[in-house]
Amino acid sequence: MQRTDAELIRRSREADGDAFAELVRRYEKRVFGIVYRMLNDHTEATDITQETFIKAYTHLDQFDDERPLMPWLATIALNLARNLLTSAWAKRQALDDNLSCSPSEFTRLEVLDEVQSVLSHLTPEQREVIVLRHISDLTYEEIAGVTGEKISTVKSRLFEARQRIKLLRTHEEAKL
Amino acid sequence: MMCLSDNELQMLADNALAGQDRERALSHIKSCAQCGEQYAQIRSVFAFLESEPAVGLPAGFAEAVAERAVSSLGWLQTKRVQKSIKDIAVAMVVAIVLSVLLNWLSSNSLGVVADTLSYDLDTVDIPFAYAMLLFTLTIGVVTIDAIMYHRFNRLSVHGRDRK
Ligand SMILES: [Zn+2]
Repeated sequence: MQRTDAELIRRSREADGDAFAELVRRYEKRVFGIVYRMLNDHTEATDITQETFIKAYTHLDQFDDERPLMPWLATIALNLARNLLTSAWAKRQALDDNLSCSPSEFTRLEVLDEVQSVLSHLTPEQREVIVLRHISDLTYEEIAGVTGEKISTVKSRLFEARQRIKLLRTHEEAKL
Repeated sequence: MMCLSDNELQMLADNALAGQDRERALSHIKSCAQCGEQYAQIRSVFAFLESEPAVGLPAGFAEAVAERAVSSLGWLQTKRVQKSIKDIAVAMVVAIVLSVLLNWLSSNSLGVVADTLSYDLDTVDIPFAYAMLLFTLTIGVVTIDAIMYHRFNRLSVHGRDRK
């Protein structure tokens, strides 16, 4: 029988490594997905995914295990990704004052898959709601909790982003 | 009924419509070709966005992270101390129960026990009884502490191998 998240969290708090590994297996794909889609850097995304789980573990005693785990993990992952984007931007600014990039841009330009290339045309705020909705499978309310925005803002941002994506994709198809 | 707005279609796809609204929207897209087409387009954007990235996490990622998490924790040390205190308390209770039991056996003059121990229980003096109590207590604490240390040591060093 599959153990519930709450049960695994309680066991993890008792320093049960197997229970925590089981929790990581349940959420690693979604956490990695969020970070990778935000950063477009495989190595950075792997590191931040690891950091997210370690951070979650050290604060596990403060987490209410009756609540769903995904929004909490998403909050941690997103904050770490945001910090990295900001510091990468600051570093590049220091190197080149004329650089016109913003913290919203991907840290490093790896070969973009189709989704990444579409996401790169969105604002960072739009990208966040898209990733939280479609990769972490969060509800509007949960996304609002993670981003600290109002539900109505989340909705309109999400709808605008999708309109943009629809247009971009038609544009891409027309080019082919 | 009126055609669905783009927002309503997106909310339907997001599972954000409930009850009557949802039923009405679902039956409308079935009967209206235009809305049906719009909805299919939204679903295709969803599928596109939900497609998995070409890269992923390395094998054994979860186990490695769990091992690092468990072994790097400061509060684990606190937990260990708390556990030890609990264990010492248990050991003391066990020792007291044992000494009471021993006392009871001697007061009942159970000859078998006396014979086995080769002691004449009637002549056991008080200092000897206290020495026995202290001895039992120490053995109990040391044993349980060793077991606990072994358990935690395995957990933090070989957590990955434990099944
Ligand atoms: Zn219609």
